[in-house]
Amino acid sequence: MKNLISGWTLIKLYTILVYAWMFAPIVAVVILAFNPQQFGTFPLEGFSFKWFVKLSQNSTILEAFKNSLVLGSLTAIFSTAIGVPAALAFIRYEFKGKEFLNTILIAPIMIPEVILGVALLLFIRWLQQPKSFVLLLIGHVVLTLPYVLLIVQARLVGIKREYEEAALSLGANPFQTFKEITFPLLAPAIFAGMLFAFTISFDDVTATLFWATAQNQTVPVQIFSMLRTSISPEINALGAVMIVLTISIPLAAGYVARRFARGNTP
Amino acid sequence: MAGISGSYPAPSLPGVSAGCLLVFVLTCGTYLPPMILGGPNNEMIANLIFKRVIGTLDWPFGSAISVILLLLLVIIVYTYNRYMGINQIFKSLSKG
Repeated sequence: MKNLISGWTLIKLYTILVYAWMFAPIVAVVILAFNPQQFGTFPLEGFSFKWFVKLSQNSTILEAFKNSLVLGSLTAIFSTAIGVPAALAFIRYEFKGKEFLNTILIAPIMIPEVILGVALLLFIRWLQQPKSFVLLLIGHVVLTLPYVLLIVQARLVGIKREYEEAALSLGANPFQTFKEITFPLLAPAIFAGMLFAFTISFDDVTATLFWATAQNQTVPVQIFSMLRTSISPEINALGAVMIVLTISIPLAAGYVARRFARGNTP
Repeated sequence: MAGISGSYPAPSLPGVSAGCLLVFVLTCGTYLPPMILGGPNNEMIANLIFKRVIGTLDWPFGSAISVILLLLLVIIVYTYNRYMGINQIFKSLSKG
């Protein structure tokens, strides 16, 4: 019995260590963002918003922020616009080559981003098109589509066909059935998928480095190029802003989605 | 102890192995960590690809290594799948 207790203590300790390992660097970045000195030392020798102010006056960063937000939102919209019908087809209908097509659409999760980056770049060169914002958007949709597809499929499996069949037998046409029955039940998953797509697009560096031009830099790419030239505390401030955004958006959205779901659960 | 090492892990084993493979595949193509955290001797294949394609514009070389990396990963995933069953990941994700 004593042996068992010490086993649990070890597991607890181990868990704490794992979490510390994962989150200590993030906490360090956020704390150092408020450091007034050029070089970060612990303990802090003061507290200031200096780097945040400097950040808000940096026009390159602001431009990159705008690009990231636009790109992320468009990626979310396009990914769900493609992913939801695809998920419906894969779950609700039988057709030839279904498994194969599903695997192909999910494959980008398993393929390293570098390869996707090179591949799309070569493809666009083959089509003799220049790098552009549209290329970046297409790339991000490819990157995020598998996640949307998986999330929506998972939810769709849980929605009983009987609801749809009932609507159909009561005289609704297939489109009305989708609009009145399937879509409201599916909405939380669609929302979650959009959010996933946005966050992944907002955070992506490796593939974006291949596709971005000087005009459409995103925030992570900008941070990366800042890191290569110097280690400025501005990066810490920018990192803190990114962390707060990428954590708070899903949390807020999750809250909204839960309230939303409570209103129309069957 | 016999319970822990014997019968207990069996049901979760496919998940564990699928997790291992996922981590392996993701790590193989990683670009940023070796770039930022690694030293000059810690270059990984993704860094080489990036250097060739974006740095020296040597596209044929870059795409050749990409294809080799992709083939290696496909072989690994395929072999792994035969014995361990990677589709467990997708099954558990899509059956939620």
